Parts: sequence; C-alpha cells; structure tokens
Amino acid sequence: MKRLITKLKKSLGFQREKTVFGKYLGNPSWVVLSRIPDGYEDFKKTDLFECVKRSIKGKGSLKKESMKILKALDSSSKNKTLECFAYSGKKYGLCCPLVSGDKVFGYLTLCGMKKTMSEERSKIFRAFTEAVIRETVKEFEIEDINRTVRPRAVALSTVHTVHRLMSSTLDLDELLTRVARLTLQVLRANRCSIKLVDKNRKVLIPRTTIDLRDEKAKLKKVQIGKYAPGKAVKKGVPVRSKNYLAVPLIDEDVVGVITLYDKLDGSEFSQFDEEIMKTLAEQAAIAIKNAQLFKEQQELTLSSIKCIAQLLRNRPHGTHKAEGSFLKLISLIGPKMNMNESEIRMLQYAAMLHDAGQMSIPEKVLTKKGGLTGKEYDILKSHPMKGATILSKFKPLKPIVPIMMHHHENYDGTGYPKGLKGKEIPLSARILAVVGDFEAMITEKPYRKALSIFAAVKEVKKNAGIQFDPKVVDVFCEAVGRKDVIKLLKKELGNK
Amino acid sequence: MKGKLKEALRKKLAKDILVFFYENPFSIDSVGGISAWVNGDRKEVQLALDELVDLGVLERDSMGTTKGFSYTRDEKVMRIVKDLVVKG
Repeated sequence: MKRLITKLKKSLGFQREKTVFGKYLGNPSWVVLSRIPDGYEDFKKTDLFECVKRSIKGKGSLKKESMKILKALDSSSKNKTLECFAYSGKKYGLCCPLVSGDKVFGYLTLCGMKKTMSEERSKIFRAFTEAVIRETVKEFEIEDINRTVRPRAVALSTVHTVHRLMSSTLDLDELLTRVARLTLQVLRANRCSIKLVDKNRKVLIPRTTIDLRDEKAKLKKVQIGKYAPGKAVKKGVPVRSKNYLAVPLIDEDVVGVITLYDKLDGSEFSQFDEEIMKTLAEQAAIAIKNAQLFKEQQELTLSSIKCIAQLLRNRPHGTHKAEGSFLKLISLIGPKMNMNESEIRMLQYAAMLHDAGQMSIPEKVLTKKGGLTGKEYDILKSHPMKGATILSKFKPLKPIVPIMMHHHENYDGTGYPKGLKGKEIPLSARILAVVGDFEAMITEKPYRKALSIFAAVKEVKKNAGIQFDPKVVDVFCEAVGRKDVIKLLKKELGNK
Repeated sequence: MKGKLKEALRKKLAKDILVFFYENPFSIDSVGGISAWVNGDRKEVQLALDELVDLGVLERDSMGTTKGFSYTRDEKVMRIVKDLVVKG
C-alpha cells in the first residue's frame, strides 16, 4: 500500500487536485497518512502533527487541538466519510479516506485551511479524490503487470526463439555447441558445459564446454552421483549453488546435463534462472534425442549401403577397389559445385551403389572378354534403371534414385537410359559420371587392363563436353591433382 | 564506437530496441518478437536490428529462416550502452 500512496502523491491528478482546491482553501498543507495514529504519542510522529504544530501559536494548546483532530480522524476512519474539523480558533482541516474497492489504503488530510468546506464542496472534493484514486490504481495495476508479467513473457519468447534455433539442426556436435552458446547468452553466465550419459560405463562424457573468459576448459569424465553434474543426473533434479547451476537433460530418461558456472555480473544463480534453465533443458533434451536418433538412422543407412557395396565387390566383375579415393574426390568436388552437406552425402551413397543394378545382369555378360552383342549391350544398358528400381524401395535412399538412373547419360545427349543432355542431367549424376568412369578406368576389368592414373585423367579431359560436363571435369582435375588424393589412390590401387 | 552508437540512437526505434535489451539482457528474440516488444514496424525493426548488429551492440544467430538477436556480452560495449541509456 505504501507504493500506492507514493504513486498517488506523485500522480498528475493529485497535483491537479492540490492546485484546484488549494487556491480555494487558502493553500493548506496536504498530508497523506497510511493509517490513523493510535493516540497522541503516535500522532506526534506524523507529518500532519508537524503541520498542525506550525499552524498553532502557543504550545500549550497543541495537545488539546491535536486531540480534536484525532477525534475527527477516528470518525472518518470509522464511517469511511470525509470529516471536516476546526482547531485553534479559526483554523480548519479535513480527513478523507482513500478507498479502492472495499479497502481503505490511506487518509488524505488537509490542515491550515482558512475556511471550512460546505457539504456540496465536500462532495465535489470527495468525487475528485475518488477519480484520482481510480486513475492511480489503474496505472498501478498496469505497472504491476509490466513488472511481473513482462519479464516472464520476454523469457517465454526467448525460450521459443531458442527452441527454433536449436531444433533447426540434426548434427549432434553442432547442436550441442549451439545449445551451450545460447544457454550462456540466456543465463548471462561465463561458462557452460554439456555432458552426455554413457550408460554402459555409468559416467558422464564431456561433449561441449564453452568458457567466455578464455580459460582452458578441462574436459573431465564425471561419475554419475558425483559433483554437481553427477548429482543432478542421479537425482533427476537441478542442483544450484551461488556460482553454478546443473540441470539434467530429461527426455523420458536422463540423457545428460547442462552445467553453468559464474554469472557475468558476479551475481548468484537465482530461482528464476533455474526455472528458465529447466525449460531450456527440456527443449534441448528433445533436440539432442532427435539428433541422436537421426545419427543412429544415418549409421543404419550407411551400414546397409556398405553391406550392398560389399556384395557388389564380391561379384566376379566387382570394382570399387579405390572406394576411399572415390568418396574423397566427391567430398572435394561437391562443395566446389555448390552442393550442400546432405547432397554430398547422398552423392557418396550413390557412388558406393551406382552399379547396384548390375546385380541383375547375368555374370556371363559382365565378364565377357570379347565385344558384346547388341542384345547383351541392351541388357547392360538396363542396369541404371534396374539399380534405381531396387533402391527406390529403400526410403532413406530416395534422393539417390535419380543419380543412379542417370549416371550413364552423356553430356552431349548420347548416353542412356533417357538420352538426357547438358543440364537436363542432374548435377550429382554428372559428377558421378566423371568420378565413376575414372574409377572404372583405373580398375582392372575382365576384358581390359587398368589404365594409369595419368592416362585415366587424360581420357576424362578428352571427353569433356562430349561425355562429361566440362565444368565438372575442371573441378575433378583440380581435385585429382592434389597430393593427398594421389597418395590415397596409389595406396588403394597397390601403388600403380 | 560511442559516437556512432549515439548517432544511431537518435532514432527512437533503435533506442527502444536497445533499452529493451538493456532491461532484458538475457533475451534472444526474433524480428517478430522484438517488433512486438517495442511496438514497431517489422521491416523498420529489421533494419534497426541489422544496424545495431553492425555496431557490435547486438549479436545475430541465424539458422535457416530463423534469426535470433541478443545483447552483446562485451563488457566494454555494455558500459557504453549503460551510459547512453541511463544518462540519455
């Protein structure tokens, strides 16, 4: 109520009331009391007493006059009415209860008035005062909402934005770094560490630590149950102290813990920090679980691809001798052709499986040493389509189907199966055409000997603009000329 | 830096945004969110935010279509902002 009285005294309405009535009443003193004084001794402690003292000549009558005023104040309090009073001869005053709803939150008193107030003017005064109170209470309530609700609304909006920023990546390492960085920003702390649970060994493995003070982060494993992070994981609840806050990451079960250390401004971690952190940790746990599941799914896909690739290698005509170099070349060419990470990954999958369709080609056709008959060549040409059909059944590999289908198209339109030309051929298929053919050339086949790396590159260059996209050939030549690539190729091919 | 910032803060919108982050230093919010807090036009808020990022007072986090803006953690810059916001 003290805040409401302070606000009332500062309000524009109250100042206006003082101006309007002050002039008419002979500029009295205005005092707001939070309660009615309990007897003379208590009254002596009020500002109103000081005003009365100043307006009374001769101290002898001070107590007597004060008692008169106190009687009027008591009556005003009891009846909740405006009471006028006279004291010290021709001095006047009044007491008006300040009412909001059913509650009286103070008393507006005037002393040193030169005349009393008529009943009619008293009514006007009371109505004016009530209007000022209504206005002040409304402002007070809005301020209160702003003070209590706004920070929470801002925090909620922050959590929402952070959630959007977190959930836009499925790469676990990138996600954890981002969670740590965003958490440091929201909690205004100096250090954030994220540890994930390793259930087999019952320990917490440090995954990310960011320290804004450039302090070297010590990445230590922590036993579950020990220190703040370990305790938070074991109990499944936040552990808070003056300078640290550890919050478990829970999504069905505990997946890890985020620990924050030392606030930027040196203050202690508060209950509000803990609440915000709990909400952030819930969002982070879901994002981490999603990233972990995505990683597992990727590993499963890769294992399946490796399995099929192994089956292909085990066939009598099997190639892919230089698989490592093959994938390395793609990882170098992809970014230069403005492909994103996911497109490059899909191209690498396609590279490992690009001849999967040959599984359905009779072995005698694949291993034939002489030239193929027209019919046999038609059978061989069907392998991209067959490969695409087989792999289209495997949902995660859907994006590689067009690559598989078109990797034997020629840039000038003379390839198969569709005879596509130039940029009609998907970019990934144009890249695979170059890298795949290069790989086929440097690998020994039943019907011919392997070419040297140098001769194969020369052959690729010769076919730029005919069989291959010239731009891809340029980027390929740059990549294949790198020392590390040559070294890897020689190693995989047995130092040819 | 102080001079450039003082110049930028002549615009009411930039000042409102900075006051918002000064009062809520923990906040990370999108253009839409900040527009709501300062009661400003989204496009104008976007421009003001970009200017404040260039001045090093705010940081930008981008991920796909999501952009989050937050207050600097540079104590030197924070002191300059305090000076400008509190003293006007």
